[in-house]
Amino acid sequence: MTMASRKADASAGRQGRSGLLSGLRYCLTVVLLLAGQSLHAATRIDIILSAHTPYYDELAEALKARVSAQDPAARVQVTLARNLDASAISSDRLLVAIGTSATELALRQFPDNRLLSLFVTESAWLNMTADQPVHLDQRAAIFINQPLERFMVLATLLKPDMKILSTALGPVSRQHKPMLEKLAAHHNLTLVAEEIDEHTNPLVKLTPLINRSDLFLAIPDQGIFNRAIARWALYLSYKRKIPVLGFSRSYTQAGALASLLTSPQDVSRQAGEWLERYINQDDEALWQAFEPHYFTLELNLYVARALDIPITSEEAVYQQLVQRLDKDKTP
Amino acid sequence: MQPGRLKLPLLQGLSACFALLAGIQANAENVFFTESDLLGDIPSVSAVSGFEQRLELAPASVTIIDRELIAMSGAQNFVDIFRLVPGFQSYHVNNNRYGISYHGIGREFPNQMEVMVDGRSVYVSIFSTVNWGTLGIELADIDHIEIIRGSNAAAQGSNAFMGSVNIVTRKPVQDSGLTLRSTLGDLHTRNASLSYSDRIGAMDYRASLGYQHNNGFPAVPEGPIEDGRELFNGNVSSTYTPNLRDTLQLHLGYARDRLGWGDGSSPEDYSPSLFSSHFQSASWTRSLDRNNELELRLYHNHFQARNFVPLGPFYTQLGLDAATAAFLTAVTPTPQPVINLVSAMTGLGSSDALALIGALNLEVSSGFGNMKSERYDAELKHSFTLTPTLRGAWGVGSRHESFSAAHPYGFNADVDEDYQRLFAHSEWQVTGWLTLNGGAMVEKTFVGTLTSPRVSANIALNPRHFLRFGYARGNRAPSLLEANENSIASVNGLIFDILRRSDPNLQEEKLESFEVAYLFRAADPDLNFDLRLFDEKVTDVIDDLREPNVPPTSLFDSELRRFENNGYWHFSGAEFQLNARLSASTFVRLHYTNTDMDSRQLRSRLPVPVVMDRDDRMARHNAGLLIGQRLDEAWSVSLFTYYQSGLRWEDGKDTESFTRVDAQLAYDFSVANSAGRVKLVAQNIGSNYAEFSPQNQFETRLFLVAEITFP
Repeated sequence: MTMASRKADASAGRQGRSGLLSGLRYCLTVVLLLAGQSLHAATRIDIILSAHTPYYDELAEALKARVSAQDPAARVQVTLARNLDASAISSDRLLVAIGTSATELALRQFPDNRLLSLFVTESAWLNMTADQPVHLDQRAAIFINQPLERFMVLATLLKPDMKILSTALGPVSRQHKPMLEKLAAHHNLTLVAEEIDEHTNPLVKLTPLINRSDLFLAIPDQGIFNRAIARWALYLSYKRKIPVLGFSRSYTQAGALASLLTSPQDVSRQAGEWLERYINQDDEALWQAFEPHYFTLELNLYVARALDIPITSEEAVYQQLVQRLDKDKTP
Repeated sequence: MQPGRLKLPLLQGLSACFALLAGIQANAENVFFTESDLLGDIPSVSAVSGFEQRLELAPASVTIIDRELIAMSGAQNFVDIFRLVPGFQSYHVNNNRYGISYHGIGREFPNQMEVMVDGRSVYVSIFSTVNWGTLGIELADIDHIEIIRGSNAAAQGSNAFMGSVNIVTRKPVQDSGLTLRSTLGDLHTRNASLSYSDRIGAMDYRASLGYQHNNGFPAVPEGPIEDGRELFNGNVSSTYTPNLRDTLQLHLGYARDRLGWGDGSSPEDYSPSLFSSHFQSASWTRSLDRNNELELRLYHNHFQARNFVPLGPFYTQLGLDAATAAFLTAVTPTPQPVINLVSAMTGLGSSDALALIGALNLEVSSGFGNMKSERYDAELKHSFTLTPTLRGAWGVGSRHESFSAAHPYGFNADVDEDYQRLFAHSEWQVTGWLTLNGGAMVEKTFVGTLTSPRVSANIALNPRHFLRFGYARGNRAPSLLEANENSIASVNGLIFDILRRSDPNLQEEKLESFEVAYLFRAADPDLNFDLRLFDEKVTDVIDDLREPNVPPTSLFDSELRRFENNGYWHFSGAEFQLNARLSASTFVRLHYTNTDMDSRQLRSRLPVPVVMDRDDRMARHNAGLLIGQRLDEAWSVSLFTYYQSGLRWEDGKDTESFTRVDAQLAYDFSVANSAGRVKLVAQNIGSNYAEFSPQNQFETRLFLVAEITFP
């Protein structure tokens, strides 16, 4: 319990929340847990993994521990998707699918079960559930891709004098163009965007795009698009001393100034909170798709120095970003 | 063999592979993206296993020397650059001939390390080494250098026996406009280069031209030596990206290097030599889907070397004076008593004695003559990600190599060979803390099929601390020269001296290597530390065996040298490198190597076997400390100190330990849209020291370097 409290305190500090609120929340959780235990039979949860990867395994272990802490009587089983025995899972169990292929399998083979999908992109989730409009009231997902608003705020934070923001949109991300334009306008920025498909010469499109902008924002799309855009955008932007914002740790390692991403710890934390609610109250509001509540910031200080962008520390930027995001939310 | 012979099977193989992989692409189309797309890797270092890999997950120790580091160090040539790297011996054989090796003995022609430029091998089979002067690129063309410290035969084949180097040049998209550079300084150094980057239509290109002139090491007590250089080089590279999946890259280059060639311990023997080279390289990369990439690389290297040293009339080489020669050749046809006299003097038979008399007045020459080599190479590589934790690369390659040697009084040869290779490497992240690497290269060579495997276990103790346990076996096929050398002195069809011959049963050299490495990474301050403990055993080392010259070929020398598998080397020790960016304006790089060498070599077999060691042929210690400090927006200074313990150079002489201090003061400026830099570089502030030979005296050298870019 001490560890859990410490973790909660640390997390709260990172989120800028008060210790008092955390304490109240903890007490409430304990009360609800005791009440819940008297109301529910032992909770049975099946965690389905798309594959054994450090990301998935780490998340599964964290969730298992979290559920056990909340409900010692809960029975949690972790199974690899390809090893799943369909006959062994009754329709009253909650399925927690980690990754797209596990989600796909759960939706296909267990349409009557309640499902929480983790580590999926919004794009993949919408695609998978589009074919299964029924039972949406028993489906929940926590997306892995960060909301565009956070990137926009981070961009203005790292480059306050920025006027023009550039981006390349691929076959999936092109649907975000209206949203990006709206967000850019909100932040008094001009958005220049190029749509790039498989038959487009990326260098021909990216060179003028990056040359006329103050910052390049990489928007996630399909793998081929991401790799090609990353490779050329990083070369071109570095030549012009224009920072790049990416969406993964490897983007930052490859030369982006910063990336916003959802780490397994971030997913674990939000999913843990979701499971607490599920175990204790099971309200209707649980059954929807959620944007990632938490995020991880990766900064490349080497690039920052090369681009003459003053950054005191990663933690300081993180705190500023949290504050700015909170401020923007305030009506 | 004609180059065309390798085309058909190669193309068939390529077609089959493309057909196989086309299926992957057909299944790749989705209208959404997944977490795998989001978390997919962005390219980083690829030289270790052939696919992109983070350094802490790689199966070998890697040093990356980037453009900024090269500029900060004040390096003027490749010798200076490799003194930044632990485990390397980097030296001037002559001022403009370099020897660079990793854990090898200090030879004139170090032969156990592969060097590539953008993945194109520049190892020269004529000399069984790399000719650094004719790479066809300028230092300013380099973006970064990926250096694999430890055997990389598993990934790059035979020549990467002890290590490998990949020089990655600037992509055309990385630069724009015109850049001019000039270096003036001691040794009558007059260097100039320009590069221009632009786009024609949808193709980006970069063109570069360079000129270098210097007079080489200073005069010795006996007088000046012919140690200078006049070098021209040029290259053009281009990138074309017709669509999102495909990238085509072309690189063409030429170099012509006229320089002094000689033995530092015999200043009177220096002679001018001419080296030239050209290359053509093309690569096509296709992303099949987010998990699969295909790369086809084709290249051709041509290398030519010319060196003739006039010796005057042949009789002078026999120790005869002009009068005696005139007497012996006065009457034609040669009278029998004269033949008998010469026969008695030399031990030759009558007909050979007659041939000798006929050659007495010929103007003869020594030197290595006219040598040429060609290499055609094709490689197809498939990089893949099977699961989020399992990825790798495999590929096939084919190479055709030839060399010819022509000398009217020396070595003549015309040799060619074909090689095929198959390689595969994988990285498996077993758990969050354990990653296993495994891979091997199988090469079909003229000494048989050679297999070089490598495995490693990489352990992440936490996000900052990593351990690696590695094991590698390497095999190195003899170079074409080593397998076919027949250096002789012949006149009028008569062989009068045999200098060096290859053992007809020459086999591959073998390496077994164990290593333990520790890596530390920190982001703030930006710091990385890399320690490698190594134990490397090399058996069947190809080296000279001295044996008596068989009469009647003993007019000049009583012994010949034979290339044989007769050596054993054992290297053990430790090396580390530390990079620390202590603040936005301060950078420190420190490296140190301690190598213990235990060796045996059969020096001669007759009259009694003589075994000697080569333990003193490599420096026991070397170390470097580079400190760079930016003073303000315009000014920066750096100081590089390098220490090397004394050693006895193979093919050279004993030299004492030395500490060299280089300093640099740089001023960055901008005028309108143009940016420039002026640097004052002082090398070896302090007393002279000797490189490779006591005659190669490295004095304090001052250079003024200027560079300006017009975008």
